[in-house]
Amino acid sequence: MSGHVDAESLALCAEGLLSGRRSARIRSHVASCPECAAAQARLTEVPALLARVPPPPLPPGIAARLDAALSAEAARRAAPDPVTEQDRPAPARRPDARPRPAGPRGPRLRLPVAARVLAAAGVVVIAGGVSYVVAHSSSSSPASSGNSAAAPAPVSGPDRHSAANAPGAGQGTVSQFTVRQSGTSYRTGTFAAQAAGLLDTSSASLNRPGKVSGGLSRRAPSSSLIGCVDKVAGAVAVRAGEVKLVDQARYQRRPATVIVVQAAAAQPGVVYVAGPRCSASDADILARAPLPVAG
Amino acid sequence: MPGQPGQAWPDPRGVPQAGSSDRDLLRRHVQGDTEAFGLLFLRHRERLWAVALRTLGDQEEAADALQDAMISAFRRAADFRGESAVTTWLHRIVVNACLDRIRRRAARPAASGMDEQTLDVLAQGSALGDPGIDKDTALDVLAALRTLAPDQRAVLVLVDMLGYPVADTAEILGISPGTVKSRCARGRARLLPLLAHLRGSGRPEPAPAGPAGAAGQPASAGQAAVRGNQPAAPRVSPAEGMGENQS
Repeated sequence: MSGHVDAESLALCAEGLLSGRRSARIRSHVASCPECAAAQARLTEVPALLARVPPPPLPPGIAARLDAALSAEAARRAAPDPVTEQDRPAPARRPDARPRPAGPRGPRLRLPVAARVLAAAGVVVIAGGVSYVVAHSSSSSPASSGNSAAAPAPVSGPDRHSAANAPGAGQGTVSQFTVRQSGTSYRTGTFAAQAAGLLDTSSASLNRPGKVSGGLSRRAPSSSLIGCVDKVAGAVAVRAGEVKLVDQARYQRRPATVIVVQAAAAQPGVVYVAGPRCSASDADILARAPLPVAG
Repeated sequence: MPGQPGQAWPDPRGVPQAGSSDRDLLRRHVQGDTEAFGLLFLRHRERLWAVALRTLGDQEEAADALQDAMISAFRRAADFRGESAVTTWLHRIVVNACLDRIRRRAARPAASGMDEQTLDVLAQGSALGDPGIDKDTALDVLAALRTLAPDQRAVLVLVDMLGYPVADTAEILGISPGTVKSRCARGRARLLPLLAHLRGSGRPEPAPAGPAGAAGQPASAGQAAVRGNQPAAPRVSPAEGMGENQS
């Protein structure tokens, strides 16, 4: 080792963190060594360089998401629901109410928080066949399973249960989201508008229960999909019924899940495109954009 | 208090500053006021965002961390004991949420790289204030920062980048001021070779031929430390279309 001073010692010396003797030695070396003097000068430029990178502004989409999460949390505090996710163990579920494991990888019984919350809140996820998330524990009969894709069964009767079962009809009490497979091929520049269009279609069909658009099929959410939505939208948003659309479709010709989160009609929504790896642990976001305001 | 670093922070829009101190707002929140926490958070969220984004280096993760921290602060407000400023407390929750995420990410294989678009977003704001830094320089600085260990990065983000005083940083991180200083020093020393090409005009240049002893002689240990590592800026090639967060 030559007599030069390494950068770390120079930096520690500049902060006054070395012993008096050691820093005196360094100073006298630097005074007589142009190389080390130059290194010391460059070292003082490092904090200056860092300070010149301006603070990033909070993107409006993220600000909206924070606002939504906060108002959901405030609503939760104002009217606490029966289960708080941290405080209680997973509620006992009847075996037949357990969602199927996502893949052929064998049982994956540890459910994501959202699934537990949904289960506890009376949401029934029926294993096997076509089923969907419903918003009422009293409507747990699986009568409407089967290939009801073209005309979802619950809308046939105009009673209140049906309304609760209708896609997207959050009654304010229990969270839910309905999974669709619209067949849409989302694209880079237009995915937000495409999602907005799909939302318009589904809300229109809600207003006219007899004419549900045939392109929307409802599918049983796998536990990994529930985990994915939980991860992307946040459990709070899921419970607050802010997940307006979950569409298993394609983006850039690859499988993807498009998720729209919107706290209230007046607030800006956000469209997320999640990739095939999306799960409770990894959102795998491929793209996101603000939801265009319907015009 | 850490509220007034050297940088000019954008004023949160339309926040009623209305006399209420942070402490008042927090107390009102604990007492059940439904608006108070929102006002409090709105006051500070711009700089909390900056802390989260610069610490994590990833917009998605920063948004998640900030949201988690916000909800956590909302729920744990009654635990605030008042030994520190409310802003310090909020910062601590945010920084901890960020470091937790980094640890969890480290436990997974291959932390994701940043694509060009993310880097663009990270560097945005270059146009806002400081005419003294161009976008490429900002990108290089951010990329270099990401190579640091999380503890060093968090300290440099707070102290050097965002201008928080050492004492406040120590309180936010729950470490001594001396530890803050030594992490700063070590972090700067590590950044030195990565940023050496940026001094002066900001144009990437190979290390200039030094006046003394550069010709033909093997570099000394000191030189090697400074010049041996040419810009490491780990850019990831742009993914197709909207950037992909590959793992």
